[in-house]
Amino acid sequence: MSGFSVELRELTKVFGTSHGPGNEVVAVRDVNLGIHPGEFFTLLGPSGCGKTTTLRLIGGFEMPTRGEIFIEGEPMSHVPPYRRPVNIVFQNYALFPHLTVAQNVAFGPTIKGVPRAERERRVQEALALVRLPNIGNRKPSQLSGGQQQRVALARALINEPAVLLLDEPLGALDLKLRKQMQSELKHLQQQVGITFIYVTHDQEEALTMSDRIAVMNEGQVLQVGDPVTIYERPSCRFVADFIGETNFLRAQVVGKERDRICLCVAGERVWAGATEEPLREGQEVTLAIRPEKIDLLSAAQANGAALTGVVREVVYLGTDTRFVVILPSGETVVARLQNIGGHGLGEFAAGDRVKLLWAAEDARPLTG
Amino acid sequence: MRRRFFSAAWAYYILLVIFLYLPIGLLIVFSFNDSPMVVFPLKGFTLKWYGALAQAREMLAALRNSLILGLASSAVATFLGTMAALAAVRYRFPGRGVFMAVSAMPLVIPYVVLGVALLILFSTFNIERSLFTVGIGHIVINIPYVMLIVGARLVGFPSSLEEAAMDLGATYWGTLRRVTIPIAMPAIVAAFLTSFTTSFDEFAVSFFLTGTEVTLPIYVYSQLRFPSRLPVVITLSAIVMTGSVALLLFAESLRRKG
Repeated sequence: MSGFSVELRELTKVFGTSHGPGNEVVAVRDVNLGIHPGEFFTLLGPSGCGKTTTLRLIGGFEMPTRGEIFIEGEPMSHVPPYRRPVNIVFQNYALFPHLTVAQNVAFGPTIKGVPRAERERRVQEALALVRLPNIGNRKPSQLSGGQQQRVALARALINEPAVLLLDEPLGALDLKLRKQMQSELKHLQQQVGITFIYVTHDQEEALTMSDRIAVMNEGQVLQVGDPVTIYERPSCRFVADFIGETNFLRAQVVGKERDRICLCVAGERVWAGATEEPLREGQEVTLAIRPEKIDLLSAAQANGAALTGVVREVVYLGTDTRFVVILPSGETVVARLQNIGGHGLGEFAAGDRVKLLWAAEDARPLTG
Repeated sequence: MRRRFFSAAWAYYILLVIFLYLPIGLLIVFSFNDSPMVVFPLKGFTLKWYGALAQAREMLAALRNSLILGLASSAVATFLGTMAALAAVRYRFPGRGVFMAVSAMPLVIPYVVLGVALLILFSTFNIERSLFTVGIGHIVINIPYVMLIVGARLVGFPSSLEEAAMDLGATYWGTLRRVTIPIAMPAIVAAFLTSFTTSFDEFAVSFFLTGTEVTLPIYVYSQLRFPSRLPVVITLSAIVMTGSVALLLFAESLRRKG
């Protein structure tokens, strides 16, 4: 037994088009994932990356072209959606407009023939869980977007699924409500202890809520890890670029030490953290460094391993200041300095020559 | 310039309304006129034509035939058309385009042609002409209307509603019964009423396919040869007209409510 709540093995989905063969679109390509019981797992990626298709495959609304889905150890390929131990919250909520809120929430138990008294008790519980008591008699059209969202959650959770699938459930809400619902969803998940598989294109949402994240692009899973790993140790350029802001610099491996690597960037020597992947001397790599990990010093002050450049632009952002620095190679580097100790108060201006420094472990050489 | 355009448009509209509704208005006026001659000036107010109507046994039989025919053929057309609309809107299957085109064909085929074609078909298979054969003709005519009305409603609601129902444990039929049909119901009722009115006053197809039991439009047409019966026909037409308008308004309000 794998012990996974949901396991995807070489899951592949190819959509044919009406224009015949040769026009197929591979929406999901050889995805292997193991999701633990009780985990808040996020599929993160840009639109069209295959995350929603993956979710719909798990829900049973699409049939895989190849590969297999296991839910609690059971293969699911030939199990229709109505017999899978999963429930889904759709992006547009998909509340039944002809039924009241209570009837919507009671839909699952009604189908399963739960007796009326118990059904009503469970509806009350479910609505209380999403903090919406006393609205059972209203129609979905009389509710706000946030309320509809909660009703959709209650309607799914009342069935006590093994896994709850959420397809960008907060996408239609305004920013403030979204933030509030993010923390509510996270608390709810911890309260009910159900495995959540959450689809979003919002990296901040993914980082805030998830236990683990799978970053997807073009149908493939590029990296799986907890938020800290995904942010601090991206496995490839796409992940580093999609999540947060990253500077990418052309670099060449010059030498190696035990836990750090010496690189040549724009004619100067700098240090980066060691990678799992073995690198050889002379190899071309991309150095990834996040703006907030860079420190600036005036060119006269610093010595040692650092890049030298000229400040082109200074943007004051309140909590921090953003500096755009041009290297002699013509590459630009963005640095964000917190506004403490005078950084934001005109320490550097456009045209100043500066040194860019960072701790070796904050910079990552990427080969992909 | 603009103003002149608008006053011309208004004049046009008023003319249109007069040409459309004046004859119908006259029908109602003459149904109360105390004279067998349908000419001005009016002679006086009477309800005797309405009274005579109750005695016109043949006419009432034709009315009854038309009602039965309308109800039965609309029920079948609504059922078949709704099924076809579900297939056409919700599923992508090979030959879908052809299916849609073939289903919509009766909309563009002249009823006279359809009537003759069905007549030839029935006589080839030695099926005797009766209300039943007329009903078949009316079902053929009405299926495309039902498909269009119900199909428009189905297009208007997202398929995620049906997916949600299946996700919550409903089988295909359960989803149809608990979600799809209830949401489409206003359109289904509207389609039924539209079919009914179409069937009720349809002439060409009925004329070719009817047997000894005539429908109301055919009976009315046959009575025009006897001037003395004209006032009763007018009276019946006035009643039918009022009923049809009421029914169509009801169907339209249902369609909008959805």
